Amino acid sequence: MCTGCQQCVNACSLALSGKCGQSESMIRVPIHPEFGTSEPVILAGCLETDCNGECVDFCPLSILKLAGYKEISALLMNEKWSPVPVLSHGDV
Amino acid sequence: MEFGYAGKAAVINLDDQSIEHLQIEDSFKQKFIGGRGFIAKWLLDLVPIKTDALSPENVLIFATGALTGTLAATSARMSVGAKAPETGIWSIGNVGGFMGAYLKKAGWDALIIKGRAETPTWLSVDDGEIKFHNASRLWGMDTYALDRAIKKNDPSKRMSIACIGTAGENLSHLATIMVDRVRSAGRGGLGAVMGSKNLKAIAVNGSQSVPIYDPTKFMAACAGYQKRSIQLYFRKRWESGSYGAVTRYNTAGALSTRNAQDTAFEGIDGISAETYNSRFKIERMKACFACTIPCWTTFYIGSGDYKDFVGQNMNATTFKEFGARCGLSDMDQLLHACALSNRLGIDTISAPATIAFAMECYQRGILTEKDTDGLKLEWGNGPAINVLIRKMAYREGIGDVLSLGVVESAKRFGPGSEKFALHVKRMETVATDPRGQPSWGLGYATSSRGACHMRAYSNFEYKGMTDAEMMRIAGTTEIQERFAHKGKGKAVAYLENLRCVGDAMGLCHFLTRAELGFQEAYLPMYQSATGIEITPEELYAAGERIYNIERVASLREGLTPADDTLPARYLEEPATGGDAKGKTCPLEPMLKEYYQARNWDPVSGYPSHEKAVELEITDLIPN
Repeated sequence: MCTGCQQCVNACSLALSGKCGQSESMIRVPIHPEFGTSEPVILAGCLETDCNGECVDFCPLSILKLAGYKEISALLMNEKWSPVPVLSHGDV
Repeated sequence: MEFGYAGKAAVINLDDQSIEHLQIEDSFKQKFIGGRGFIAKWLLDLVPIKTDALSPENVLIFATGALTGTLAATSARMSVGAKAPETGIWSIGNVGGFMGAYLKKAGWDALIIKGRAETPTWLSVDDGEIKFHNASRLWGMDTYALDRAIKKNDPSKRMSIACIGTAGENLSHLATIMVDRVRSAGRGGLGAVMGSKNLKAIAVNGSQSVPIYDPTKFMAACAGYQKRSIQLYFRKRWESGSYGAVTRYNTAGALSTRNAQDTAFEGIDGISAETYNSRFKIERMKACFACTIPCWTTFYIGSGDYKDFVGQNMNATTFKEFGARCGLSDMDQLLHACALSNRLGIDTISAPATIAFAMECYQRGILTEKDTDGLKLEWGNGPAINVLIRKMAYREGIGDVLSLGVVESAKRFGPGSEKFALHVKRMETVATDPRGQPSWGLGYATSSRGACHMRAYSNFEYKGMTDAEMMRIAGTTEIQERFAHKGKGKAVAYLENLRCVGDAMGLCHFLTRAELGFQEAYLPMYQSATGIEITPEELYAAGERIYNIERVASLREGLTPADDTLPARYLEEPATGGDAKGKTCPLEPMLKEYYQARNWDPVSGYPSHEKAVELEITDLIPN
């Protein structure tokens, strides 16, 4: 479902560093060079950050989901909708 | 430290391969905001009056908006401007995709390109480092091949490329600059300007970040703006991009058909959103950088002459121009024509408009097969349309003259043909017919770069604005009455100024068309991003200043108020179909009101002294 807009990347970097840019973000959204398909990828550093899940708030399609371990298994099992889990801080 | 802006431009001289850094002061930012505003001021300073657009003295500028590359919704936009060969006046367009954001993140607000390279050249902008490269082996490549060829040199880098195709290399006046392969900027032949400079491409990699003055406030401002953008526009874009609107134009009698001989198209079903979505679209909508209202898709042609062809990025304009305007209802042929245009770097408005002009000349016997290289230019002849696009880009046979647009083609085709050449200030009109949407007609007539629908982009005639918004821009809600004229002059002038602000900010017209395009809507984001204090009145004045500078630049090139008009067809020949049947475009009263709203002298066309003082441009006004 990802549109490739990079808003999660922007929101993450702004929350963590006060800047907008991939280099400051814990998320990458690679875009297919031919067809434009994309999907957010969470970097390991995401688990170490102290944020309020701004990436989730700014995803226009709500495909990022802030969740604890208990919820994530159910999310990943959902065949109709596969959100990208972002671990809530308390569950790290 | 710079906030929001990068704070500098690169002045690139192709003559001697030198690069200078131009610092951008806060006072300059406040007065011209960014993007289109920066370009207007720099063209004024750098390009002498009567400069040949295809000479080394012309200057080609790429400039990001104040908010480009940030969290602000749709902040992908980058303006591109130069003096245009087709019109002889400036053309400042803008484009989405990713290049604007990457340029800002590379540490540049703008690239100002001067001179002419001795041999084919391409530029790489790799953060702060700008390099010149030999493009001899890239010359001749289409936009897709070139994109791959440059990226494969450094496949791990995230790169966005602006380039010209064959049309730009061959100096077609309809050549555009293509960004990320399928996004076009620079109507009026800016692709030819780039070609005249022997500049094939600019590849940008920006790995840095844009510092924000007050991140907390900016985050909150962007959140509110984004939420509203989704409420207002997401669903329509998600379902049918911008191409869904083509059916509405048809019903309204605002769809120029067969070179605007008709105003509704009997073949509308063939070029509708339903046909595209059900038979061709193979992916969900995709977004440009920071876009919350995604509108582009990939399509696949599964049968026919172009079986297995894949392309991207359709919009209503494409459907209108290659479809109704050329009498073509075969979507296979239409999609291929659009994709071919993108690959060859030719304008998907002016190219089909010029083809439609040739088709009408053929219909009326002005052109015969002897003149057309044997092509039967009958309405809806898709294969002939596709052949003509290639001929125009390569400037072969009849394509040589057609590649210069309708005005030059009419001169060649002879007396009687000029009345079918639909243009304003030498730029081809768009297929949204002014008899069905009169305010668009006024927008074409007053556009600062020739018949451009995005200068005013008025949407009040099709329920795009609330009563309060209409009252604000026109002082009356009567502007929503499509075939009336009261208030429309005032409204179009106001919207032209607002569009300048939006273009200077670097946001998308699809988002800033109404509520989110008023000056107050930008302020919280602009101030918290840049730290620059500005009032809504000053922001609006900056937009008005930009438009007036563009206006004065046109007058200095020799245009007069007599050029603020429309082709006779829209004014004298009644619409033949749709709701507008029997109507003509009431340009005169709208134009009179527009001049009053602008405070322009109706004889000289210049802003009054009073207006010039208000906008701090008295140095541009003749004594």
